[in-house]
Amino acid sequence: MRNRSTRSLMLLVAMLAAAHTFAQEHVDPVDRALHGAGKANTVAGVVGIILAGLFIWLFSQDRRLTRLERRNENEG
Amino acid sequence: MKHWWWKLLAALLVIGASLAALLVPLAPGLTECVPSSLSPGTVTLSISGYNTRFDRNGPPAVGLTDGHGGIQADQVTVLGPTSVKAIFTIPADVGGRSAHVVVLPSSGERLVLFDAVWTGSGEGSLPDRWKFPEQAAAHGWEFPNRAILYETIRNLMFHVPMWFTMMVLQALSVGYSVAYLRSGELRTDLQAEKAVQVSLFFAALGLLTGSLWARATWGAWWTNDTKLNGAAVTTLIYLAYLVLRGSVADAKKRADLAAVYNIFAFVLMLVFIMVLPRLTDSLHPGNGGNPAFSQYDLDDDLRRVFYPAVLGWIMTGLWLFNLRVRMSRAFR
Repeated sequence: MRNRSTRSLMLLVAMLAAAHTFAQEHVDPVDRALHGAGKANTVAGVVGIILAGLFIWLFSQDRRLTRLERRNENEG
Repeated sequence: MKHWWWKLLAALLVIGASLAALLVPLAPGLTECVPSSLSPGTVTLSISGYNTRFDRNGPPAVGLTDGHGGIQADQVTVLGPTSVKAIFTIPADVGGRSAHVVVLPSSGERLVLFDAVWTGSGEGSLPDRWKFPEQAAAHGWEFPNRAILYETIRNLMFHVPMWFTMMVLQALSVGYSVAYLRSGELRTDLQAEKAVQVSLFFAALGLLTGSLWARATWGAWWTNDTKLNGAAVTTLIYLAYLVLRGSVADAKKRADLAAVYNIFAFVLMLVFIMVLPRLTDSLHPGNGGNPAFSQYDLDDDLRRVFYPAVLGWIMTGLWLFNLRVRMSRAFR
């Protein structure tokens, strides 16, 4: 489990680094996406990250519970 | 993880609808008109807009209408993208009624500030010199700009789904209670209890978000509105359901009592939230005798976000219920 999360974290860092180099070349895309319509897009981005985080957490709780249920079944 | 696809769908619907609720622009509209009363002669009205672009494509046409007649402004000066000045000649003997201010930008929108001015001390209506178009031009995807609500119309996609989810969970709970009374299986009693617990979580969110919204639109954290008090009483009735459960030690007896109480609670919830607000006046739309979800309350631009939001939140509520039931079984 730990191994997998470390790996996905490294992948995320690598992707961010790649996005950063792209951003250096064109400057605009991220800026353009985040700054439209009075910068409300940025707020939507923040809300999106929080909701996505909550749902990912909910999924992980669900998975953990499934493991617990399986263990109970095997013992009982 | 079993049946993960509908959980993923719930997450995607909630996230997608929430982003759309925040990002779809609000239609242009009018917010203010000064002065608010007219006297015969030359009158200059300063009109403020929101999300408007009066500075584009030439000055808009500005008119006044009181339901009987209408007049057009003699001269319109654009002061900025959201500000315009209109000079009217008000005929003598006009007055005694309120009039709407209408602004027609060349882009085809129809902006109306309802009952914006009082026409003064005379007795006649405005002369029938000008009529504003019945239909506004087609526009892109935007939320309607309604007086009082303005940007808070976006709350529709967050506040209302809380109540829908609560009601679905309580309907589910009463279903399990009926199943318990028919079969006597304690398994269904546990499901009824967990559904009420999760429904109260959504009721709390609904009350809090509604209170905040009420402060911004109706001017008070709590009003004596039928639907507000009905929702509060319903929440108390369901809290009492949990208190009742906690006060009976014997599992079988507790299940019997709770199941019967739950049926009464559900009927009362329907009466307090769905029936009574429709019989009396309510600040909530769709009440006081009007059908909910009429075209006037909810147009297609709102529906496109509202229905996915409701569906997504209901599915999320069912997911939380599913987790609570499995958790209490796993830890028993």
